[in-house]
Parts: sequence; C-alpha cells; structure tokens
Amino acid sequence: MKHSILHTVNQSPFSNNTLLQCLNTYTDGDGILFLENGAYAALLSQPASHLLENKTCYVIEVDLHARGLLEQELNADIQLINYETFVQLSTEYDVVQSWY
Amino acid sequence: MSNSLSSNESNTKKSSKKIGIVMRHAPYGNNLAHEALDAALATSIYGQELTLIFMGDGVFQLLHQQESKAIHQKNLEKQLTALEFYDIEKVFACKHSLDERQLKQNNLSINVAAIETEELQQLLHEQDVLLSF
Amino acid sequence: MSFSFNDKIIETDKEGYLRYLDDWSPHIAEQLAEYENVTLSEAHWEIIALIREFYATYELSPAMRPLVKYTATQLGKEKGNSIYLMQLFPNSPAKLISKIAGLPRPKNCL
Repeated sequence: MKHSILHTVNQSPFSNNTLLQCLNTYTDGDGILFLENGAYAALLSQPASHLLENKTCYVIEVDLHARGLLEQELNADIQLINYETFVQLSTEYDVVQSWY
Repeated sequence: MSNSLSSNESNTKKSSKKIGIVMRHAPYGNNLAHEALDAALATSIYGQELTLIFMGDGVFQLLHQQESKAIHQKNLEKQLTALEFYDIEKVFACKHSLDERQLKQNNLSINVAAIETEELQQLLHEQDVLLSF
Repeated sequence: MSFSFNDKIIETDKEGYLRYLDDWSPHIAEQLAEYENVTLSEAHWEIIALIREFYATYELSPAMRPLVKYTATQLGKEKGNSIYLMQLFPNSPAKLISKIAGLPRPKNCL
C-alpha cells in the first residue's frame, strides 16, 4: 500500500542539500513543509526554487516573518500556513518524514 | 489520505507495523547514528517489520575500518555487524549516495542492498512509520 | 552504590551493574553472582565468557534474542535456547548475565 508522506525541511537550501535529498524521494500525493531555516526555501532566489513547481509546498508564516522574508520575493506556489494547519496536515498525510 | 488501515492487510497483520528507520547523518559528529541503532535494536524486540535505510551522509556509517577508540566513542561498525543477531535483515542504502561518495560494497562493513532512487521512493512510501535520524 | 572487595571500592549503579567495566575480574563476578543468589558453575562461566566475547566483538550488551542466537551459533542449539539460559540465570537471563559479566545493562531489554 502506498502511503502519502509529509516531508518537513528545516534547513536552508542555500547552505546544504537537505532539500535536494528530500525532493529525490518526493512522489505525487506528498507534501513538503518548510519550517525554521527551511523557510528560506520559500525565496524565489533559492537554488532549487524551480524544482518546487507542481509540488505541494507549505511554509510556516511566522518563520518567514521572523526572518524578515515576508517582504522579499517569494515563490507563489508555496502556501503560507500557521501551526494549527501544520498539526492538521500531519494528521492528513499518512507518514511524516523530517529532513534535518 | 487517512490513518485507518483499509486494505486487506489490516486483518492479517493488525499488530505489525512497517517501521522504516532512516539514517542520513555521518557517524561520530553527533549522536544520531547511535540513537538510530538503539532505536533499531529496541524496535526489533517488538517483532515489527523493520527496515533500515541509509542515505545521504548516512551511508558513511557503513564504511569499514572504523577505529573510534581515540575519540572515546563506541565503534559503530562493530555494532552494525551485530544486526544479524537481532534478526534485522532488511538493510538498504541509496545507490546514488554511495556513488556520490565513491563507496563500493567492498568498502562496507555489512551487506546492504543498494537501491536506485525509484526503489528508494517506493520503499519510503511503503512504511507505516518513518523514524529519521 | 558500591561494595568493597580486597580493600578496593567497586562502584556500581543502582541496579548493581559495574560503573567501570575495567573493575571486572572473575573474583568480582563471583561476588556479583552471590548478590544475585547465583552460584557459578562451569556452565555459568561458559556463558559469561561467551557474553564477554560478544561485547568485545560488537560493543553491545545483547538482549535476550540476540544472546540466544549468538549462543546457538557458538555453542550449538542445546545451549542456545532460552530455557537453558533461564535455568542458569533465572528470571531475566540477558540482564543477569550482563551484570555478572561486568557489562553495561542491555539497553533494549523488555
């Protein structure tokens, strides 16, 4: 039976390849949630930005806000969410895999 | 997307869950590799379907000729070779990660199945629970 | 916790496992066994040597299942089974053998 995975990423795509490793295992039906320093992945300027096209992505809004990223040019494909939605998502997907 | 087991598997294997332990970090720099091994050994006792998956820098855990005495840490290589006594036989490594680091099976301390990206995706999506270290 | 042996203080944790593995000697083993009401025979020593060999090789104190399996591969099925080990080391053999053999408590023991 194929399960859906919610991938959480808390590393900046500018400093290491954690996001690339994650994308390597992503399949349709999965979601990627960016939190903490993972929030930098929401920047349009990040090196793997084009790889997020057609993928379901979320970012914790307060993590963007804290880092001063809300006024920067963001990837429009990424949904801004709060912690409540995070909790809800982690129950909606079958499995959670954290990339850190 | 739901957590209830709706497939016919649920009747036959009600208590057994597929647990995947994902190792992605190199050993010794932090305690993750040892914690992962502890988790694996502990889980093996409960008779769950256990799969170990090494990827990224985690494949460095598999390197042979580790000698960690001088840094006052337990030798992970020695501990991994004990897996057979814990009936942990499903051990996989991401082939791409091995290739990237130019590691070959004869550089490794235990037998692992090197799998292509597609098989890796499949394997991860089969698990009921993923524990990431 | 501690006990004294030949004028040396031997430290243990609160469950009675040696704090310093280098403190171990066969005499200490006899003392530890006595605390657990076990009298060591040849058969006991064989298993103690075996588990110390396991620890030297794998740097792990084995839980019951791996201990049984390892014993079976080294000494044969007659000894590599839980009944045999329970007779020698009652109740919780893996923990008891590790304790008497001067090894850390097996981490993953039920």
